[in-house]
Amino acid sequence: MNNNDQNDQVDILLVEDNPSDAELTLRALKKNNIASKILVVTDGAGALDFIFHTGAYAGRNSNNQPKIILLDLKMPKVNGIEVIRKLKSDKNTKSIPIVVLTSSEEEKDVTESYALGVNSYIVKPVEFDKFTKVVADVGLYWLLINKSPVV
Amino acid sequence: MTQKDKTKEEFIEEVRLLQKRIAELEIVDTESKSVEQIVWGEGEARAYAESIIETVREPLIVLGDDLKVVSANKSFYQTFKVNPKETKGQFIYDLGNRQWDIPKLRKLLDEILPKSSVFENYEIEHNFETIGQKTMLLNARRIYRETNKTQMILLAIEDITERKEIEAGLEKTRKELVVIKQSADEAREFAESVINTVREPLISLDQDLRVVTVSRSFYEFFKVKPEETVGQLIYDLGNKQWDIPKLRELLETILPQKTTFDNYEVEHNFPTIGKKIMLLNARQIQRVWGKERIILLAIEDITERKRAEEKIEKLNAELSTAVKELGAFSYSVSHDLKAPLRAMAGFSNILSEDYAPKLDDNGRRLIGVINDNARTMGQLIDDLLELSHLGRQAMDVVDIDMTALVQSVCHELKEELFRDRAIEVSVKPLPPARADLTLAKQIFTNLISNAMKFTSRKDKALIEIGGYDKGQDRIYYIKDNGAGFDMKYVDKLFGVFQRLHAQDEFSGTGIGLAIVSNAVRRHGGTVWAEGEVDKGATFYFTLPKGGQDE
Repeated sequence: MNNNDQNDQVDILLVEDNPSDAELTLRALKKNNIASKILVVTDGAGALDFIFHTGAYAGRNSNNQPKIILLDLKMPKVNGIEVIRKLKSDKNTKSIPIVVLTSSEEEKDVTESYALGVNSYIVKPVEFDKFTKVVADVGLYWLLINKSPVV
Repeated sequence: MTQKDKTKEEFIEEVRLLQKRIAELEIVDTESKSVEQIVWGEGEARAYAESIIETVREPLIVLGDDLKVVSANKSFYQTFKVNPKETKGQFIYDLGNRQWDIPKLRKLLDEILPKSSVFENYEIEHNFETIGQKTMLLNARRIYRETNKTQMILLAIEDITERKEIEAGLEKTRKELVVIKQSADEAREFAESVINTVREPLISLDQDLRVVTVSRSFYEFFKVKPEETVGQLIYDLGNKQWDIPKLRELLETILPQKTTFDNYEVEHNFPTIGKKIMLLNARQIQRVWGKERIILLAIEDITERKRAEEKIEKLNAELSTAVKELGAFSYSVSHDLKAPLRAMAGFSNILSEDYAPKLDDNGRRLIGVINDNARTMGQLIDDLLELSHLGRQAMDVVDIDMTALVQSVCHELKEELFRDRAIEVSVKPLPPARADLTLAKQIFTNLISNAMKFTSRKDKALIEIGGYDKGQDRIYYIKDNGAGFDMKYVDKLFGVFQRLHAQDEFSGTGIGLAIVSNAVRRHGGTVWAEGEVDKGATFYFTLPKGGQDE
């Protein structure tokens, strides 16, 4: 995880505005030896800048897209739904797997996310044990089990 | 007066009478001279008389002194269908098989006529053999014949049978008319009393839209007087306050085509009574007598009702907004409460994982307390979410096989939560319900898991689930032999966060029964409970009947 070297390959882009949730997620992934290259951005605007190499990520190597995006929905500036809409409607980015990782169990959010083309929808458990297991399972599946197209 | 005077008076009177007598004699003389002038010869007069007799349309018959027929006219023969041969010279009573032997005729000829020479309009009703039942008017004249000093009787017969019948018919019609008029009057009176009794203002108009009748309530409602109303053009009433475009449309365009119009809404600001919303019902009535049409207009003031309806609509809108806001609020609260809770639980776990060796037993216990509370709060939030979710979810009502539903719920609960417990569950055959499947499942899940939870301290847990009909209601029940409750607190059972047991006795959030109550009420049902401490509890609820042909 090194934000300074923009040309580094990123395995997981974690889009999470809550630092506690971010830290718990990172710990869960690390503890289970899922991935070492994880980038955390704290809102949807940051995620879009990273993927479309704009703003703070203007000089980034566009060939190095993340293998998976873990996306929270409720975020300041640009929310998760808008991020999904942008990425899934662009032919260059729509094949990047997006997993929604959120507290929201609202049917409306689930329906809308899938309608926009999200690849998976996970509700964050409150219990630590369950949370750790869910994050580990997601990382394991999308990085090791699932075969994604070469971007 | 002296004797002489008297004699003189008498003399004068004598002379006056003589003079008068002479004058009278002179008149008689003049008359007799004029009679002489028109006296014809015997033959000539007879021919003249006979030609008159023949010309007259009425049957005429001439009788001699002896009441034998001297002659009769053509009309007589035609009317009575007889011929001269069998008539002339016959005794009148013997004519045509004695059909003229009528007591009243005998009375006329034998008694009345000998005393007076003229008799008119003597009515006789008789059933003639030849021509049937007839009513006749007889006019008779006794004529003295100078030539042979004999008397003759001229009898004119007028057949008034038809006229009588017409008169009788007319009389009957008149009587009927009286009856009709009476009932028409009664009907009119009745209609008028109805009009005046009805609370709705009523007004009737003629074809030219002029006011014919007005009900009392109309005067009261529109604060007008009869003298300024009846006979007026409706649009001119009360300073033209009725000149309303929508009323014109109704009376001039719609009614001529439809003859009936109900619930035509008109809103108008009346100078006398202010802004009113009215429903107009109109009928065009064809009068039985005559061709004119009458328009009956009933006016219902729905201003208040409309106002109330608008108020209810506004309140409903406010209420549904409030419900939506509350839903959104509880959702976002629950949602936002979860993140810090996850952090509490997460970091206390990390603490115990990473720093356990540096903590003593009490330190590790304290971390456990934090964890337990975080878990409880997590459960609370989940239940609250569920409660708010249930209230907002649209219902999909279907027929439900309740026996199968209950069996699957029991199975799931035993497998997931009470695996290590020996619970005897008896599921009776349950009548089907018509309900939302998710809600019905939630109701049974909460009640049965409660029953399982509260029997945990019994050696042998017994649970019975059944259903039956009572009157219009379909009742389901879940009965257990568990901890039960004191009926004193029965009212608190179904409230949110209400608990009748300490947390260390039986864990729980106090939301489960609130969810049950909410779900049952959404189906229009009711929920209640009976219990006794340490003996057990029975929960009842009603749902709409399912499995019925509709």
